[in-house]
Amino acid sequence: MYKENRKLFTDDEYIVRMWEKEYIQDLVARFMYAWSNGERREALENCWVRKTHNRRDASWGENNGFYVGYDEVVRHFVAEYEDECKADLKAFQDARPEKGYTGADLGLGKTLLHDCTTPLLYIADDGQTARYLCYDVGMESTGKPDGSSESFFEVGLCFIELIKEGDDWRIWHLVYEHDFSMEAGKDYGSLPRILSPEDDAVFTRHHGTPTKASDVYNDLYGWEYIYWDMPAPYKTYEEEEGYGPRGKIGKKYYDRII
Amino acid sequence: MKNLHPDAMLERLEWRRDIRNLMGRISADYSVREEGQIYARYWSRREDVCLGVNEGWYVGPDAVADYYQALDEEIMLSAKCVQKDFPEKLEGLTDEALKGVGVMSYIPVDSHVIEIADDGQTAKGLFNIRGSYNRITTSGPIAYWLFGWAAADFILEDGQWKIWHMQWLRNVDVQCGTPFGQTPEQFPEVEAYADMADFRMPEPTVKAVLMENYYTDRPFTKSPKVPEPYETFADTFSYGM
Repeated sequence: MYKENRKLFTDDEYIVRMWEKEYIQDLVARFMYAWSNGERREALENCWVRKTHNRRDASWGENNGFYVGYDEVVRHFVAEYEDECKADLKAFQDARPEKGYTGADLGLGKTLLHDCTTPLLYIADDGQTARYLCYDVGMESTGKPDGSSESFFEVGLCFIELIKEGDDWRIWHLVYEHDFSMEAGKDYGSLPRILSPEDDAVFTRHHGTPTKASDVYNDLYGWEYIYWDMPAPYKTYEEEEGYGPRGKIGKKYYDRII
Repeated sequence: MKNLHPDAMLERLEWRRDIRNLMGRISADYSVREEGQIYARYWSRREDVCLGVNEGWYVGPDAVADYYQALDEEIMLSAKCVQKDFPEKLEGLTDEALKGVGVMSYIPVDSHVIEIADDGQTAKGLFNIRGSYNRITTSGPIAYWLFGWAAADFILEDGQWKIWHMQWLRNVDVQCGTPFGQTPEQFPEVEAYADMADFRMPEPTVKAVLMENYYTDRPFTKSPKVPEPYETFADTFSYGM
């Protein structure tokens, strides 16, 4: 039905929409670089919504629920990370005072990579919102004072809803569906296929305590939902179809039946 | 977001595709062990080209070309060692047929941020590198995980985008089977691979620590700067030395 009713654009309108798609891809990549670089506050300030009413409605989804409102996104994405880095640095300072870690910048011993590969992107026919999906195939390593490290290959899907503020696109809702944290340096054949509580604690270590807890994504048996949540051509933003906390994303099929 | 006339947007969309294709071709050349052609195929012929790697800068066309040529020589030497190890399969093969045997390199580049100058003469791009490769060592083939960045200044020459300056940086370059930042398992040397002891990459023209490979108490290390919109190259930073 959508194809029959799909809006037709002039050549110039098509070019502008192609240009905007390029801009959106770069914007998401900018966000990923800032995320990897530990510049999380800047990542939100530069790439996320700025208008008050959009910030009120901004959200970050993790497997276990949604952080709702810009301040809650900051609490999770910035403050929790900074607390983690401070604790890591203190562990180094306490354990190895002779090494002179005093005054070291946050993030000592840490490295991480987030990226956005294989993007899927649609701008609404009305040109006011866009939906984007990418794989974030990255890694994270945290050094320990004893010279060891906890290092993981990290894989997840990023569903992102963007909204136009003036001439600029901004990230409005983001859902990070975390698939797995695979420990580096291990015999993969011997890794557990069903997570023990200890393994699960590793896997969920960045999920935190969301504003609105819900089972957004279960990596053990959640695959069937991805198809329905993938971006597809659409006319205009509708909250229940979106990637915010009142949208369908992550809902069980029986909760999607109206 | 810049407001441009649709004709200008269209031209820039083509240019952005050209730049992504250029980086994609480099990635493909690594896959098919054509590293020796990268300078000839993709680099500017300017005298002020430079390539930055973790250990320093290769400055000028000869140094950059020699860097890629050395990669090619390593590939050929590696294949000859593998040939010694598996004579029943590889003996009698010509150099052309032997080239690339025993080595693989999967170096995808993604997460692009590309900015083309308002004057249309230069561009900047930053890309994640997230791959794996193996190297033939005196102990035989050893596989590695690689996470890093490619950051480049591009210049338009005769209607084609070419690399002017590039940083090709390894953030985590770790032997497979090793937690990041830790000492890898050492393997005994194997006679067939003894010739690899003689191989050395050429020294950088200017030795400098552009990036340290990750270790467990390394100061937090960021990617190269992310490109920002700019009018002309004089108004922005350089990925060169």
